[in-house]
Amino acid sequence: MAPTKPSGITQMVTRMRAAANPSKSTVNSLKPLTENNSLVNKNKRKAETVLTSDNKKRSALGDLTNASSKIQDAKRATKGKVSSTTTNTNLARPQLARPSTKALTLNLVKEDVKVPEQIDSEATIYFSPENVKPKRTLPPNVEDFDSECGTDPFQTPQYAQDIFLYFKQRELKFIPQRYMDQQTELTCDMRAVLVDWLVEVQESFELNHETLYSAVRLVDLYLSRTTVTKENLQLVGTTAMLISSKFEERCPPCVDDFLYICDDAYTRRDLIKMEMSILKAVDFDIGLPLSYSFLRRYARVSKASMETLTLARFILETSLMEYDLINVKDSLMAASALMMAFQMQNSGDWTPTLEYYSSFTKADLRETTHRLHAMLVKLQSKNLKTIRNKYSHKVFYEVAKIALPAELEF
Amino acid sequence: MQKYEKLEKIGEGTYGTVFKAKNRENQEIVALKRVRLDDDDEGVPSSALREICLLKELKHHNIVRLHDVLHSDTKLTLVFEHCDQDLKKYFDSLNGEIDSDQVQSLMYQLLRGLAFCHSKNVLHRDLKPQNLLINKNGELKLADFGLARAFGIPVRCYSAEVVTLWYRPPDVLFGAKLYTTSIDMWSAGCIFAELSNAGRPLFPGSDIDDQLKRIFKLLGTPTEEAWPGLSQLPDFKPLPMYQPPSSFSQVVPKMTAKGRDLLQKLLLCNPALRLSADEAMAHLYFNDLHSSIKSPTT
Repeated sequence: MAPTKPSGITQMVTRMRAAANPSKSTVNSLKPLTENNSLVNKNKRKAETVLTSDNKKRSALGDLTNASSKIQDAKRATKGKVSSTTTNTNLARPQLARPSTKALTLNLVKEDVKVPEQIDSEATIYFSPENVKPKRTLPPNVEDFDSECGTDPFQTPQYAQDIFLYFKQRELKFIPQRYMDQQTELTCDMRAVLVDWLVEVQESFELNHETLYSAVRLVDLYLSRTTVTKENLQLVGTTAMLISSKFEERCPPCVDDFLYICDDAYTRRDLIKMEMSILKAVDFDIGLPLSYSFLRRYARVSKASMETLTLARFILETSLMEYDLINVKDSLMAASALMMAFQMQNSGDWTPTLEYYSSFTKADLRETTHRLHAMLVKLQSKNLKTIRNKYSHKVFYEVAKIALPAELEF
Repeated sequence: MQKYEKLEKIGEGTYGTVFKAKNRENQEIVALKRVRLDDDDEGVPSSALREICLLKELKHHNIVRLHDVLHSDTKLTLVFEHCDQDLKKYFDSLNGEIDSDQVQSLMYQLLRGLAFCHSKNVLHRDLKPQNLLINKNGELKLADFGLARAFGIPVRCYSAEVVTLWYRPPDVLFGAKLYTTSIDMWSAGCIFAELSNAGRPLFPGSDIDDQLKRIFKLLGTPTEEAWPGLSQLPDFKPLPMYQPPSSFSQVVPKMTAKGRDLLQKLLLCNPALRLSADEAMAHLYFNDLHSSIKSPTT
C-alpha cells in the first residue's frame, strides 16, 4: 500500500491480507481450506442448493481444459473404433438397423444423419434443416464459426450468436457509475486489495472464473449505489461472492465457508443482511454479461491458441483491480485484452472474422488497449501479486512472465 | 403485504408455497410464491435467486411473468401473473379427449417459450405438465424456474439431478453432467405425446432403471454406434437390447404421421441428434397451425 494511506485502513488491509495469504505464517486463515478441503466439502453438503452428492473436487482450471473437449475426444475415439469394427458389431447385432459407414462418420452432424432409431419409414420428408431459415448471412472473408461447431452441441451453435448479440445489448445495463468520489472511506487501492483477495478466494474454493467476475461487478454496482465503511468493504466482497456462487456454481460454498475466510470478522446475520442489501441494490438482476465470456467467444472465433487466450485472461483479470476501468463495456474490455495479447505475443491481428463477431473495428480497440498496456506497465511495481502469481504457474502457460513491450505498435 | 389480499393456497413450488391473491389497488389477480428466510439458514435459496433473476430477463408471452419481488426480514414474496390452471389440471378436466388443434397449439407455444429461453442462455430443466400454465385464452406459459440455470458457451458440467424422472432424458438418467438445450427438448417430446393422449404420461417410470427400460422398450435400446460416447456416461449400465416396435401409431394413436415424425425427432436418445426448439417449430407438423397462434408475440 502507498505509505500515505490513512492509518485506519491498516487494520482492514491486514485482515484481508491475513485471510488472503496462506503463505504468511502469522494468520493462516485460508490454509485449512487449501490444504484440506474436507471443511468445504462437509459444509457444502449442507447447502440447500446442492442437488448432487458429488463432492469431487472441481479443478480450478476446469475451464482451461475445455469441458467439452474430453467428450469430443471420446467421440473421435469412438468414431475411429466404430468404423474399424463395423462388420463385427453388425454381425453381433443383426437385428438392429444398420447405419451405413457414411452415417457412422457423420453421425454427430444432425443434418447428415439417417437416424438409426427411425421407426415410421414415411418420416423424413416432414422435416429437413432447409426448412429452418438461416438467421443471418455472413459478410465475405468471415469464417462461419458456429457452423463449423455444428458437430459439437456443447457449443450450442444454434443459439450462440443470438446469445452474444443479447449479451451485447444487455451489458449496457450493468456499467457501474464511477463512485469513489462519493465514498467517504474507500480508496481505489482498497478496492484493488479486495479484488486481489477475491481472486484468492476463487482459487481456494475452486470457483469458476465467471463467479469471480460476477462478484467484482456486484461489488462495483453496490458501491455505486451505497456508501460503505472500510470495515464493511470485505463483507460486501465476500457476500457478492456468495451471491454469484449461488447463481453460477453447481456446488456453491456455504455461508460458514464465507464467514471462515473472513476470519470470523462478521457474523452470519451480517452476511445474510448484506446479501439482501446487495440484491435489493441491483434489483435481483444478477445475470451479468461478463467480459470473461466475451473473451472466450472472441478467442474461439479467431482460433487463438490456448496460450494467447490465457495471456488475454491474465490481462483481463488484472483489469478487475483497476477502478479506472470499471465503466468500460465488458465486450470492449474483452476484445482489447485479446488485442493486447496479440500484440505481446505477435500472435495475431484483428481479422474481419473478429470484427464481425465482436462488432468492433481495430480502431475501436485502440484506446482501451493502450489503457491496458499502461495498466500492465504500472503493475510491475505493484504489491498485489495474487493474479500475477496465479498466471505464473505452468498450467497457465506462465503467461504472466511474458515480456511487456515498452510501446504498442498501434 | 398490505398490497395483496390472500385468497387461497394453490400449491407448492420447488421451494415455498404458492397462493392466489388479489392486488388491492387494481383488483388484479396474482399468484404469490412465498420463500421463508431463516436466520440460521443459507440466506436466499439459490433456486429462488435463480428463478427471480432469470425470470426478470425472460419477458415473453409463453413464459410466466414475474411482476414484483417483495422482501421482509423473514420472507421473500414473488408476485407472478396468475393463470387459471396448469396443464396437469387441464388434462384432468378432459376425460381422455383432446382436440388435435389444441394439441398443436399448446405444443407450438411450449416450443416458442423454450426457444426464447434457449436464445437467452437459459435451461429450464424441469419441464412437466405441472409447470406449464394455461390461462383462459388458451395461452401456455412456462413456469417454475426453480431448477433453471443460465448456461455458458460452451456449456460446463451442471447437476445431473435435474428434471422430474418421467421427463428426464436418457443421457441425464445415465448421469450426464454435460448437457445443453437438448435436455429440455426431451421433456418437450414427452409432453407432446402426453398432450396427444389427453394426459396419459408417456414414460411413467418408478425409478431410474424402470424409467430407462420404459424408454428403450419404445425406442429400442441405443447402441454405441447410434450414440457415440454412450458407454462412457458416468452411470451407464448395459440394459436388455429391446427391439423398437415398428410404428409409433400404437403409442400416439391420435397423432398424424407428421406429428409422429416430430415426436420421434424429439425423442432421440442421443442428445446431439434431438431437434432444437427452433427446428421443431419449423417442422411441417405446424404448417397448418392457425396464424393467430403462429404470429410472433415477443
